[in-house]
Amino acid sequence: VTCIFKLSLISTLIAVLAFAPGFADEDDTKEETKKEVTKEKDAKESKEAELPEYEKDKDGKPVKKDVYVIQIKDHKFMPAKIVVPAGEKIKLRIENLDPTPEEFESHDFNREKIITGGGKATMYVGPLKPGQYKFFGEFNEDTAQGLIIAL
Amino acid sequence: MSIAVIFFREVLEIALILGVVLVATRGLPFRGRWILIGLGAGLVGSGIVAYSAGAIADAVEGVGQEIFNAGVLVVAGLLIIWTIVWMKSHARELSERIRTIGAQVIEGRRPLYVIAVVICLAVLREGSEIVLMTYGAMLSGSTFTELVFGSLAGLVAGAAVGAAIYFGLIRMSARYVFTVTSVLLAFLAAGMMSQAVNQLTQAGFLSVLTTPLWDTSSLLSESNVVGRILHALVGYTARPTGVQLIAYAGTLVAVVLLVKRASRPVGPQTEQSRESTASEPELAATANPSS
Repeated sequence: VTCIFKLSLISTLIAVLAFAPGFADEDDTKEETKKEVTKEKDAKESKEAELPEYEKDKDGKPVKKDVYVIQIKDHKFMPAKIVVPAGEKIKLRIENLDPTPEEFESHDFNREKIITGGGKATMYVGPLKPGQYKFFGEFNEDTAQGLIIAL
Repeated sequence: MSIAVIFFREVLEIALILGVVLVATRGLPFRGRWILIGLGAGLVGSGIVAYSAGAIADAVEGVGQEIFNAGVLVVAGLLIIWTIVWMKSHARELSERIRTIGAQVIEGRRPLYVIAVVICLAVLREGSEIVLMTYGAMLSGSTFTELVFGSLAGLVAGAAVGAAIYFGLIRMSARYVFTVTSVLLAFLAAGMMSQAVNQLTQAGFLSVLTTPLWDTSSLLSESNVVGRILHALVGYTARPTGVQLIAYAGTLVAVVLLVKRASRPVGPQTEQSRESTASEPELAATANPSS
């Protein structure tokens, strides 16, 4: 039993080491921080230009839409960035135009939902505090990346 | 590579639950058979769920998936709680059986049905995702070798973590193993309830206390391996909402109260079994009056 235990421990270690980069641990984090730094720079230089277009009320706050539609095409989100009002529960509709299934997932706002090929899905998000919230398609994480910006 | 990673993530959750359940049920007769039944039913079910994913998703105005997931989580969580209580009320027999191999067969096969169902549900949830992902990868033009090697690598790695948990727990002395596995199972159930509540929030059924209370993602992100393991084992969430916390704490409190109730009569064995018969009418069918 001890032998098996040791073996399994070793294989776990190997497994963890082998998969660590895949979990956005080392290289990805570095890249991400780099990206974020440049993003921040850009944001400082032209904060308005960084944001996608959105309808504003007279105070400049985003107007809440009844539903926010995000489409998936070629394993990418369209739009990849949406602006939503902070402090409001919003309705999100994901339309998958690809023939392959996708899992819409976000650790930042704790959502997870499978959308079948050619299918649609509805979910509620928030209320979110002001900030940026990443989401991604778990089955195609390399390309399917998106951001919800709560203002 | 990505196939292996996704396989690993999903298998990890199944393997961790399986590891804890295997330790918890150590010493029960015919448990291997029931675990295999649970695994088999889960695998078959995964295929069915994956195949009907579209129909499930479209049901109940587009939130069928959330209701399905929440249902699976709640049922699994309740059955795990039931298992903890059962273990507690049969603790003495169980530890006796572990210490002296070949002792009398423990009464009642009921908990083994329950364990089969728990394992089946765990496989069902994660397995259906694996099936869908694999299907998607095939459509996107992944080669057969990529699929086979990716899935095998992920499977082996996930199983290894589960095995590590199992062998780590099983090496403990019989005196502590019940307490430790009971505590682990209680956290597992609490995590499931909290996830179920989050599914209902996602579906829009809950709208109070749905803002995250705190954010520990900078300390421990759910996207790394440790975060994933803790998520699967104890329901770790970097940004829990108020309702999630209530569900989590409520489950733990309920388990403590139920276990206290189950272990209250310190008297003769007969009284204990009568007590559990009264609280669980289903048990009456299998309750063995021979003791």
